[in-house]
Amino acid sequence: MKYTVTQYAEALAEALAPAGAEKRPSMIRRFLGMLRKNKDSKLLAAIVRKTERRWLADQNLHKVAVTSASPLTAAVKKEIEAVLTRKPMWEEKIDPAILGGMRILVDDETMIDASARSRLDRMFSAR
Amino acid sequence: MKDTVITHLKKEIEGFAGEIKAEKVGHVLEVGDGIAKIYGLADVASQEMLEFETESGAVSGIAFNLEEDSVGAIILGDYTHIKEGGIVRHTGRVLSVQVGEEMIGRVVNPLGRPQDGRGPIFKSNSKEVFYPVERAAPSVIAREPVGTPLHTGIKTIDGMIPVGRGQRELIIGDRQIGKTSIAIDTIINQGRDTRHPTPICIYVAIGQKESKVAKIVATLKEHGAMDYTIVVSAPASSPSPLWYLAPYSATAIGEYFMHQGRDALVIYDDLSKHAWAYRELSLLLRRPPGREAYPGDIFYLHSRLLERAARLNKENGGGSLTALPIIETQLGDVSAYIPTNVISITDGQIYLEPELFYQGVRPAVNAGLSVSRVGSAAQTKAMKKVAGRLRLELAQFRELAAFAQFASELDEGTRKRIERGRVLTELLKQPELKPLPFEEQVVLMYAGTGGFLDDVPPAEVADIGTALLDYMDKMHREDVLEKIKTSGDLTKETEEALKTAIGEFKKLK
Repeated sequence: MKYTVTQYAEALAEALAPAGAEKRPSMIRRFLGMLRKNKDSKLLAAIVRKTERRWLADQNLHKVAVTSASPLTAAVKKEIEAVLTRKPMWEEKIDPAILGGMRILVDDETMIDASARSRLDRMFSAR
Repeated sequence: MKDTVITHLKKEIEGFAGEIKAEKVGHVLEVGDGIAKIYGLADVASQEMLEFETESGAVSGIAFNLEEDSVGAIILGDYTHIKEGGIVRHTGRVLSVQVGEEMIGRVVNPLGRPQDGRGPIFKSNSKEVFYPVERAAPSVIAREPVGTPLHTGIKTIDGMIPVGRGQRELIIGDRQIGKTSIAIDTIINQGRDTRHPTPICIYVAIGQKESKVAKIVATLKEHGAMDYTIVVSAPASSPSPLWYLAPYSATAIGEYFMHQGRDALVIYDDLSKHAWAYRELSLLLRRPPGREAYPGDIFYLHSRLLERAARLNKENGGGSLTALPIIETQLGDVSAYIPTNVISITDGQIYLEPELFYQGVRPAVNAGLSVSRVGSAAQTKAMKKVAGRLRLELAQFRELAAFAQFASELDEGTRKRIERGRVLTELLKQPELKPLPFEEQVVLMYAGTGGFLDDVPPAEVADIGTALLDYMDKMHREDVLEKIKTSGDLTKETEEALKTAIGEFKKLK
């Protein structure tokens, strides 16, 4: 029987949720073994993405990836947190190439681009 | 100048806070060979334009496959700069090309950008008109039956397989048999046909060598045909998404002129390569392959394109879009998948046969297998009168010629028929780049079918024909040629005049 990505992801998320932190690595190893046995290893990337999304929803979290030119201050973080409906899981990156402002990516799909770089790009690419 | 720049910048900076908004984006999962797989982009619509963020600026693409949590896209441009994990935005627009009068005489790519090194096509202050590349075909209500001829200047075609404005006529044959020549002759003849307004011609080169495209453009220029022609080129070096798009954007350009109430002629050279490009894209996007590995919607690919050819009625401006698709067959196999599809979509086909080509019958049109489903509705009255007999006589000749190979002694009637057939075959031969005006075609066909050339040996028919036209041009331009040309008809008096003129000519010889 062939399983779909969704089925794998759901099973994995449900199995991992109640397990303790020390049990998880061995569970994941067994899961990878099962994928290989079922010849579904190529689905791994898609399964991981789906599991992550589910896990975030279960934990009531938002993955918030912020790229900024200089480190974020606590005040800015608080401001961002106030807009979100779930609790943030921060992923910070410093990239001087964006010149100023910041780029916020929520759950890998909603982008708020407030960087000086993209502003300038838009200004000079406009006809 | 300086002040305006500063105020512009100031405005931009002041507006900084207000214009930031959240947007849905996707990430590139895989990229290669003109396609990309994207994760995310939940709100994207099918056929929507996408923008790939790269280090060297944005590259556009089109959403093609919408799957459960990924999107398959084709990339219109250089895909080598797109990286895994790169950000993809959707634009909320479908692909469109800027169209206008200024395009005439230019060579453009399928996105409407100039390819001839003559700078921008449109002036920066001109009115911008964009036409969507994909558009639904005009409905039945908006159409009118095809009735105006589009003279190709080729005797065989104008006589036996007439093409009308708004018709779709397929040119099909093996490689190196003169398919493109027919198309080029047709374009050249449009400028010389003064009885009807000159259509805007659009030549679409799909997957052809750039040297060949350059040669075609040079030929058209030499014959003054670039004054009303647009060339859309997706050369062999361009990625397959551009091959796939080329006929659609050319049709969009043609539709612009059709909607202006004018006539347009689009030549797709050739749709076999277009089908290959679409097969390539479909297989890369993992759509299930069907017969000959083409995807299931390959018929729809061509039918939705060719359905856009139309003759609009008066209420809709009365414009027309004529389509001349070209299909290249492999070893004369017309029963392959793509040829049968396109034959069934079009309103007739011009079938070119290698055997005839090697016998020296050029253009190598097989009059038996070629048809025009619009028929004589798209012929002038004069042509109808002389060409009706032509088709019949040639059909009888073919039948008898096959039969006569076995019989050594033939009766008088059969022998005469065969002789006549030989003369007519010779008469229909025509060199490249020499399209004939329709009134001269009428004179030649009248002489041929009327039996005036029966006593001429087949080898001399071509020369006699040229001499006859020369004589008519010098001695009877006013009373015969001009009359046929302006009235489009061969009246009793004109016919008498023509008959006596041919008699006089024969006496001179």
